[in-house]
Order: sequence, then structure tokens, then C-alpha cells
Amino acid sequence: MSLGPHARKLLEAGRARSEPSAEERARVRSALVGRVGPAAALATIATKTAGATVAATASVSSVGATLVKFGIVGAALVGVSGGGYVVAHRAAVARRVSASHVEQGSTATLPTSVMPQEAPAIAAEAPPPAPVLPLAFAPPAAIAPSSAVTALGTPSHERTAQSRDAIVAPPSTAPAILEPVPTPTPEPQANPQPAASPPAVDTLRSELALVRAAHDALREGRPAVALERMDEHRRAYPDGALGEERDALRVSALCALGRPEAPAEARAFLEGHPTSPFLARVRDACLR
Amino acid sequence: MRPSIAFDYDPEPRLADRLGSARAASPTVAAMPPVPSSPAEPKEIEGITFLDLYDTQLAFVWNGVKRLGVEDSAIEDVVQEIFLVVHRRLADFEGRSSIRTWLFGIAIRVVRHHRRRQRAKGATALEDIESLADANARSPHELAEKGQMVDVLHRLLDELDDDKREVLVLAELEQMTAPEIAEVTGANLNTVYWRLRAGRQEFERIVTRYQARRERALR
Repeated sequence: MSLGPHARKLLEAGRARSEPSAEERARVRSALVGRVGPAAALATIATKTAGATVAATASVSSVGATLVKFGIVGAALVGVSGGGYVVAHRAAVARRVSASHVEQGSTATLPTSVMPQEAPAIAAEAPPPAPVLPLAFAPPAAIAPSSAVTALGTPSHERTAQSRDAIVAPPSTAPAILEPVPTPTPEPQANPQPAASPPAVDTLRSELALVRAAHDALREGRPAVALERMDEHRRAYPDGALGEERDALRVSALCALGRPEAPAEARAFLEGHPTSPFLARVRDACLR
Repeated sequence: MRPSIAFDYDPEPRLADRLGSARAASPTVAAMPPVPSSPAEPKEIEGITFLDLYDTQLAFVWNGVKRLGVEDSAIEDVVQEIFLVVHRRLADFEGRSSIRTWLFGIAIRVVRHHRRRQRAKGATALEDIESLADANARSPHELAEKGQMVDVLHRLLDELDDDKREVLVLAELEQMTAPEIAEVTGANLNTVYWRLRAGRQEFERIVTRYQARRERALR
């Protein structure tokens, strides 16, 4: 016996996606940032290879890129107030840079693994005594939001898990080495060991790169370039994880170009994604 | 308690570690694909942050959680819990073929845990299904609101047992392949096929019964 028409119909209806509202999205997001710590949330996934040192500067540049460039779903939706977020991020960057210095400076005396995404969270729980942070990175007052957010509602098992998993440079050694922190020089995205990543990660990374490029192009007033990137995305990843972002950017680009098919495409997007977090963006671009 | 306890979500990571050693000792469970419980050697995945994962995968997880039978009022909490586990297990992601099957593997365990807890609390989530549908509608076709149809669907899915519901949802709604479902649920491929068959049959019977009840109510 297989499925009858009624059962089929019900299942088909069930395939329509119901998505979280922008408020729900932001609420869960800020709760998560609160529980894992802003720095941990922004640290790039994964940290070390066996016995190798952490590519701290590389992480810094890509985290920065993520935060700054991927404004569509990034900073715009953060529940924590924008200012606090960036400041917390800066504090994280400063700490991570310091971690890299600790490593470069005295590799022999330190445990092999300093996990960038764990370290700041733990530092926030037990803040080092008035660290001398370079002003450009994090004015002392700016650390408060980060600590406050981390302290909020971190359950004990989460905390023990973090301290169990992370081997962190003792905070007391950090301030002394902090003094000569340089501006992290942005490095090209093409970093060592790309071959080591599993295909799904490569895919998501490629998708992200296209979406970011399109987003940048739109913001810089080059909708034709954005459209090109998104057509590229559509060809390469028709069912990609970022399909909705792609469609939103594509429609926005069509509208910016004043293409004749733009109104129909915009309507199709609004109807196809009635709860999309990108509705406002598409409306702004198209329905003026 | 089912023998596949090692695959159940456990909020305490240390307990999961203990279960991990129990799993190795038990031959039946050891035959199943392992769920890594401790971060081994994470690889460098530069350019993607935890929040990138959240931003890009939230809709997928949110939707899946709902389909797997989490009541609306608990979705936010369950989704948050899932992403906390995701964060804790980022290292396990290494070498996975698909982000979504990995995410769903975590999601399904958190949902199972949540549903068990709800049941233990004696929560009766089942609203009166007849009250949901428009009294004049004779079939799902005629239900004016598509959203209402989805509600009916979810209530009917609740009548399936959890194993069959999971497989039916993953196959019919998430449109995953059988090997993907096996990866997500931790069941072996034959079991997945069997559950899908049995789940479809049972769901068909449930829908037929529902239709009959509605017909009677309208007479």
C-alpha cells in the first residue's frame, strides 16, 4: 500500500517551509552569543592541527571579513546592540592576537593548543587584572559588554565543557606580552591547507564567497557585478545552503538595474518567502 | 529503553562520553556508525564562523524541528539547545560529507530528548484535531488555509511512533535520501527502508481514519 491522494496532498503542503521571523532569529542569535561568548561565536570553526600552532592572524582576518562584509545576515541581525557587538569583537581580536604573540614569543613554554574560540570566553569569566589593551583595539570599558554577555545564563555544564576542552594560556601572562600588539595585517583568503577541508565546508565557503561578493557589489553600486555573481551561484549551487540569500540579492540587483523582469521576480520572491529575513531588503530595492 | 541509547541526545557531555565506552562494549550498537563524542583533531576551516553556520542553517533547523514534532512554544528553546550542541561539537564536523545531515543528526537527538521529557511531564500536546480544520471542509484539498493543512499534517504525524515519524519526515518533507536518513538517525539502511515503508502505510491509515471521522462529523 502506498500513499493515497489525501496523504500526498498533506505531505506536499508540509514541504512548504515555515521560517523563523526576524525577531525569533535575532532572539535566538543573541541568546547563543550570550551563552557561547561573542568571541567564540565569531571565531572561525576549528582551530588546530595536531601539534601545530594556531593560525591566529588568519582567523582574525577572516573573522573580520565575515563581520564587516557579510552584513546581510551578520551584523544587521545581531541581538546585542551593534556597538557592543563590534566592540566585543574587537576585544576578541585583541585577545586572539595576544594569543598568537604568546605562541610566537614562547612556543616552548606553552601547551601546544591555544584554542582561539575558547580562550576569550574563559577570559571573560575570569578577567585578567586590568590588562593594558591597545586603544585601537579595545578600550578597557569596552570589555564590559563582552563579559556581561558571557556571564548571562551560561549553564554550568557548558562552562565545564569549555574549560575541560580548552587549554588556555594563563591569563596572567597575557598583559605583559600585550604591549607590542601590531595591527593584524589582513591576509589573502587563500590560506594553507585548503585541501584538508571536507567538501561540504568547501561548498559553503564558496557559496559564502559569492554571496559576499554580490553583497559588496550591490553596496558599491555595481548591481551588474552582483547579478553576475548570483547567476554564477545559481548555476553552481541550485540547491545551495544560501539559496534564499542568493535569490534576495539577485532580485535586488535586477531591480537596481531596472530590468523589465524585475517586478515579476520581486513579487515571486516575496510570495515564495513570505517570512524571509530579506523581505525588507528586497522591498527597499524593488518596491519604491 | 531502546538499545540505541548511545545515539540519544544527552545534555551532559561527560555522560555521553561514558555512553561512548558502553557503546564500544555492546556488539549490536557497535555495528552502527559511530557518533564521535569528543573533539579529536579539528582541522582548519578558515572563513566560516559559528555564526555563519547559524545564519545560514537556522531556517533549515527551525523547520525540521517543527516537523519532527516540537510544539511551537518550545521551538526557540530547542533550536537554541541544538546550536549549543553544534558549537560544542564543531570539531566533529570534520570530514562530514554534508553540513545538513550533520546538523540534522544533532537536531534529531535534541528533539528526541525534548519529546521524552515532555512525555515524562505528561504533556498532552495533541489538540483536538477536529477543531483545527474548517468544519465545512471535506478533504485536505478544501482546507482554505495551507497553514491549517500543515497543522493537520503535524497532528497526524504525531500519531506515528517516533521512529517512523522521523523517517517519514526526513524522506517526505526534508526529501533526504535513505543513506542520508541512516546517517541522521543512526539506524542502518535496511531499518530506514523498513521504517519508511511501514511509516507510509501507517500514515495512510491515519489519514484515511481522519477523513472518515470528518465525513461522519459532517453528516
